Amino acid sequence: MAQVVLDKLVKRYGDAPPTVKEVSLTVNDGEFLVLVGPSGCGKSTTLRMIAGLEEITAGELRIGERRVNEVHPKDRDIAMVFQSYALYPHMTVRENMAFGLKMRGMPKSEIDVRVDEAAKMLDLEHLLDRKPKAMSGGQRQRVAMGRAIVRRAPVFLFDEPLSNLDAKLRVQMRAEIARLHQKLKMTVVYVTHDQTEAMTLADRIAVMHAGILQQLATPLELYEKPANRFVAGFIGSPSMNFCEAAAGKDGVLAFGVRLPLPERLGSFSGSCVAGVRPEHFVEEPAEGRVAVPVVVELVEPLGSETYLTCTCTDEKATRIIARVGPRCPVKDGDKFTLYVDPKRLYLFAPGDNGPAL
Amino acid sequence: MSTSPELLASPAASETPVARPGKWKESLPGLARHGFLIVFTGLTLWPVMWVLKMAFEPGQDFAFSISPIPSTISFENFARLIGKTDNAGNWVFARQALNSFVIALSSSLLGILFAATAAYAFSRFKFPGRRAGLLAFLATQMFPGTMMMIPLYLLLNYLGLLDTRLGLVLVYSTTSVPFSVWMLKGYFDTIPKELEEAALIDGASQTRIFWQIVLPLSAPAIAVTFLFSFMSAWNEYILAAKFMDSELHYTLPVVVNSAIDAKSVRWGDFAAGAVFVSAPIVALFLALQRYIVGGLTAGGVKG
Amino acid sequence: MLRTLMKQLVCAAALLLAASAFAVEAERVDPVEAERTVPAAVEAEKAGPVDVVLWHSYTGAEQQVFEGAIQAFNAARDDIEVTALFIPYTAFADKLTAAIGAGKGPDLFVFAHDRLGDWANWGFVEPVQHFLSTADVERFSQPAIEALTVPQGSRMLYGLPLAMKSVALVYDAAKIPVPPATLDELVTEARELTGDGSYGFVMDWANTYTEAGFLHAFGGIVLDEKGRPALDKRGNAEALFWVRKLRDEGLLPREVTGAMVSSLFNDRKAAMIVTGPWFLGDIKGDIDARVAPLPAGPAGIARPYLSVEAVIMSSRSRRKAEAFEVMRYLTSDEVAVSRLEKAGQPVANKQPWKSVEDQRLQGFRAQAELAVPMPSAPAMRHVWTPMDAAIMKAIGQGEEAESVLAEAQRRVSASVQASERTEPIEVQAKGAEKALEQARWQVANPDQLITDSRWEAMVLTFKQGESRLLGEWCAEKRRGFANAVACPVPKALADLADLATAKEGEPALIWNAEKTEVVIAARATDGRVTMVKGGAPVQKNRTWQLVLGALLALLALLAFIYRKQLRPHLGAYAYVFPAMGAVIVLVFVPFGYGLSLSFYDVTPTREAFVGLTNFVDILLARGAGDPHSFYYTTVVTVVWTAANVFLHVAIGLFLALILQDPKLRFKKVYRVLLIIPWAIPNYITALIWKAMFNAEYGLINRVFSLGSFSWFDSPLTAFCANLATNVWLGFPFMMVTALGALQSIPKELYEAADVDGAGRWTKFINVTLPLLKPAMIPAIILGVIWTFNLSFNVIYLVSGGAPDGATDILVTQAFRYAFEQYRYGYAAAYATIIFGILMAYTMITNRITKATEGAFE
Repeated sequence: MAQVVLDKLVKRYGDAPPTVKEVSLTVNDGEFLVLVGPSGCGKSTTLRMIAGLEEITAGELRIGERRVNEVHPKDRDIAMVFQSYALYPHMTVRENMAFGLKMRGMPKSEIDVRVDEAAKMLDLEHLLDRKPKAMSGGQRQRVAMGRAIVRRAPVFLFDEPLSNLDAKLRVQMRAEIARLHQKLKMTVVYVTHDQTEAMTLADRIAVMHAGILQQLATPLELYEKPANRFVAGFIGSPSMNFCEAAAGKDGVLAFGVRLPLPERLGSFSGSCVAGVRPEHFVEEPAEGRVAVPVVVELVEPLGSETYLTCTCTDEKATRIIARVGPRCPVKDGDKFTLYVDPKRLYLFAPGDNGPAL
Repeated sequence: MSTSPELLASPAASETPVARPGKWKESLPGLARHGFLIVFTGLTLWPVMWVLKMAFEPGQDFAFSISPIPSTISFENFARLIGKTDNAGNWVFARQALNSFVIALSSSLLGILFAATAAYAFSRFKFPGRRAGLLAFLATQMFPGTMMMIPLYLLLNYLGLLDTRLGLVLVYSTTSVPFSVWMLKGYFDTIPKELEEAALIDGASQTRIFWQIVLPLSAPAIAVTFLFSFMSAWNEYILAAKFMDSELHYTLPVVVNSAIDAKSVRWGDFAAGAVFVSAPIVALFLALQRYIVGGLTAGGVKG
Repeated sequence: MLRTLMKQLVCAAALLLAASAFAVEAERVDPVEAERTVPAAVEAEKAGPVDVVLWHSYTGAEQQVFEGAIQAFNAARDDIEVTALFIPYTAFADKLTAAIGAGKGPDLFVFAHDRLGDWANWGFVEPVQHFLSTADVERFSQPAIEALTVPQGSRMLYGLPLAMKSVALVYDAAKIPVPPATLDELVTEARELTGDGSYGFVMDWANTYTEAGFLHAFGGIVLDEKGRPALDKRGNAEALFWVRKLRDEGLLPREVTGAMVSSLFNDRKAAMIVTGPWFLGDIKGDIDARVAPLPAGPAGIARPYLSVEAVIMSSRSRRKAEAFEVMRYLTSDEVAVSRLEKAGQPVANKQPWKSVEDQRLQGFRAQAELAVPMPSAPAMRHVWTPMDAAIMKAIGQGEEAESVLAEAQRRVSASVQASERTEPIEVQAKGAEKALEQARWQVANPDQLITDSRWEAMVLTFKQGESRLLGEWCAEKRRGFANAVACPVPKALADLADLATAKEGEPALIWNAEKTEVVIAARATDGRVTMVKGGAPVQKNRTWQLVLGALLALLALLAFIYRKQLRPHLGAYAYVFPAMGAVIVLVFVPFGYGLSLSFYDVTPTREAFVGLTNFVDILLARGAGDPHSFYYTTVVTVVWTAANVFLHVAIGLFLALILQDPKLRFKKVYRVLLIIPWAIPNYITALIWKAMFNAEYGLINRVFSLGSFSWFDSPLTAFCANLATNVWLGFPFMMVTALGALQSIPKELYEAADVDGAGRWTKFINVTLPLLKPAMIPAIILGVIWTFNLSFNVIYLVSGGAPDGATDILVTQAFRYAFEQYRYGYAAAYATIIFGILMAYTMITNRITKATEGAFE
């Protein structure tokens, strides 16, 4: 069993306010869980607590039903891939991968078998006798993964492994990691600040912010049903457009237009924050869609679509970004009309991180 | 300064190749630079060449001519120095050279061993008394040596270590420890913690991490520290002369100083002795020079 | 994890214990005690030959003859075996003092007589007159025996003379057919022969030793009959003035050294020189050199100082009778003959000279017979430096001789006074009581000897009325006494007059000058006088042990109290333990001991607690009367350090900037060649540079056509000479550090600066310098500490502090106090202050730069 359970984990350095505040979540056996959030949100700290590289101030950590708060990292049955790969520079690739097994007293023949197997899996066979300094970033990444694989540990921890790679390589490696997970079916806790990585790799995502777990859900759920403004703004690229709004009997006033309230919020009135994703501001009118007049400020053609940065007609001249088709015939400064489906409207309580209404 | 593996892995990372195909003419500023360097190097080495000259010229006078080239080459000074035997027929010079070598080698190895472990602790662990310890080591550099001579003599006497090689080895290694700790700690500080964390997860114990990961990676710094310790032990004169009571126990610097009388200096013998004392160190310097450049910085940079 | 750490700790501890057990190679037995427990141990009872250890610093032919004689002795006798050890001259005196002071050292040693005054005072050396008969003594020249008699006029003879040397007039007979008999004749001859780079007369006028003959020729004197300084005597000024006139007239070279005198003579550029017999072996074969006594001056013949080399016996020797045999042999006439003939040593024996025909040797001997033994009184120690300085000022700098000498006299007197501080030791009272007790008991039981490890008890019983000097009684009785160790009887008892006052049955207490020994005389009823000589127990400095013990106890207590908090850190402590342990034992403990000495007034045999007096003396610029007070020296040290570090860094950085250009060819070659100065031991460097700065034949003057400019005459130029040497030594370190630091500056920064339009200088100031700081600052701090403390060799050996201590820095001053004036306590206080200054400096710079904060994180 390789279930990882975090039970109200707290991390505090000295007398400073806690970096991680009572995070509780369960990673199921074989699940790929991604911890995502902006820099400083506590995700790396949480991961290091799981690894045993940071002391747990309060709370309990269980790996496979065993309490491991005081257990030495090497006895926790985990493998880790570091952001900077942490390869031993004076050892060859083979030696790097074999090191952990040697420490555990495995016979050489067995070690060789595992190393070769991992090398094959990661396409490293021709590099086995090289030293890290003679390899590219992507190759080093794979060696780091190889080092984790040979351990055949039930739990894998990844600490922003792709941050040091260029964009193209990142996409490639993402796919490889996903393939690896499919093949080996280990439990994975993966930390990243990139929400695209999170969305593509994860079975479930844990969004963290300021040391607090914001929402734990599948990618789709996070997308469609964000729990609060932060999650809503974090997931999705470009991020959701927000506007201060006032709700009343006639609907909610946002983005310079009046939009009907969703049914479940029928009797709500008061100030709130309205949110609409860029992809839901469209060019074509249709039944039920509300027209939103805007002035186009910036046109960014991407080939498959175009991003329009526009200002609304409300007092505050709220800026929004819309994703429209590739051949949208607008120029800077044009007046334009976008259409939005009221069902795509999200409402949040006012304040910095109001929960969804 | 980032601690990415690239910078770590090659100690002389910026040793870019010098020769460029097709570049024959140095620009004028380049020539001027060479000119300056040649003159400066010549000036710097002039006294050295002088000593060589006096070593190779027969006689004990202080050479008068300005030129650093010996007028006649003779090995008599060297022969006299090397061939010295005492009344019992022991080959004194060989014993003394051996003493120097053994003492210098043992004390630097011992010193490095002590210093590396302490430096590692200071670098990696936080423990009560850490700052005090570092400060204490730094403070030892400030003890005036003159104050230590007599107490050390008495201490070694008390321990029964006078006139023994072990006594000198202990004194030399201990006096080189503080500086070595300083240098090695600086270098250890630049080794990324992640390497050690990965090793921890891999299952290595602290000791293994120290011996199999940190030390091999610190080879440049260790080489330099070794060189300095060796050099100061090898060159040391006053304690060796004071603590050793028999000619067979003397070290080479004592031999060099025996050429200095109350009234004058026998320059031929002195120069020959000086050559013997300096040559191994110069050779070591040459062998380890790329480490000297890299190792010193790494000890100093706090990036 | 904890278990492995514990295992490591135990292993380390075990290793260290094993190592230290292994290290104890010799039994630690107090030599004096050993003698006590075995009565009649003077005659060796062990089987096999007695081993007599002899120390010398002979080189060359003298060494060969000497050691040859020893070998012959060993071959001829199988009851005594002599082991000779050569010790370099530069380390001889210190090593001797340290060894004998610690109760070890040789049985015999060969040395000049000038320190006998001190040594006798401290009880380091053994008088030997009771081993000799009158005939024995007559074998030697009278002045030589006088030189070895301390105090002058007494009967205490401390050794047998080997050779007697004094300077004399050596002249080239080809140019000077008849040697001058008076100084005026000398000047006339000199005038004729001086010119065109040649001199008629050359002498090393810059030092007191050579000058002494001339001082005496004018009626001057350095120490009077009582051994007190008399520098301001009229004749001294006249003599100095006379020499100065010669120099001003160009008859003497502007700056001289002993080596130069010799080489001028050999080059036929000097017709007459003043030199000693050591020169004989170096005279060029084709010169007809002859030796004559120095010419007479207005007040009489010139009596130069006689320096007597003697075989001296250590008071700590356990085989005195055997040692004396060796001593007698080495100074025997047969050996003297071979010393004279084969090594040209001017032996002190009379017999061998009868068959010598060599004019030169006889010439030196003739002068020696007329010479005056160099005073060995303790005051003499304090004379050399101030007198040398006075000579330099009066002759070299043309100042008025009288005032200069008066000043020197003041200095010497103050210095002598300071070192003779004789505060009564508190233990006197207790010691006296014990002595009294012993005396009473001893008087009643003259046939039983008191044995007490701290008292050299010796009973002498003789009949009252017999007026022989006590020394002789001592000798006679000694032979019968099993455990008589040392027999110097205080001068006060040299005559019986003092005893006459001892009332019947009442012991009289007589202390020696140092208050370390007391003799109790008690007269029994039948007129017999019994004396017990004892030593007041030397108050050993135990403070440091107390402090150390207290510290350790405190640490242990703290460790115990906080043991729970400390437990998780055991691993770290295990790692630090070997280094820290070794440093504590071998660095902190000796340092602590040295530190504690600063609260005492310490000589080799006595320690008296004086509290903060030493510090007060130093800080109030009192003490030792040197014109260069602590503050002056501190300023010099600060300037020295600043100048050095600045030049090291500037030159090193400059070279590094040139060398770091990757396009430069042969870069590696330059780099390697430029670090060579670093590899050469600094005392070798110092001596070479000292020679290079020599006024007459030094390279610097010749290459830069500076004529005979003497660098060491004025503080500024002497300082520059030191500076040049130290910079030569030190810039490679900074160069290498800078090279490394430069390599770690990312290229992009320079490129960004280029794009911004920065010129080379701007780039240097705004990119290079700031980014160099983290690497250079620790190096600079270290460099400052090293220059402050470790440039000792350079200053001591190059300028020697000349002129007159003006270029001395704090550490060299401390050294002088310790090893030239034997005032260990004062020197320790000095060193403590130095340490305090450096600590303060480090703390302050830490706060200011915060650059080494990282080092402490």
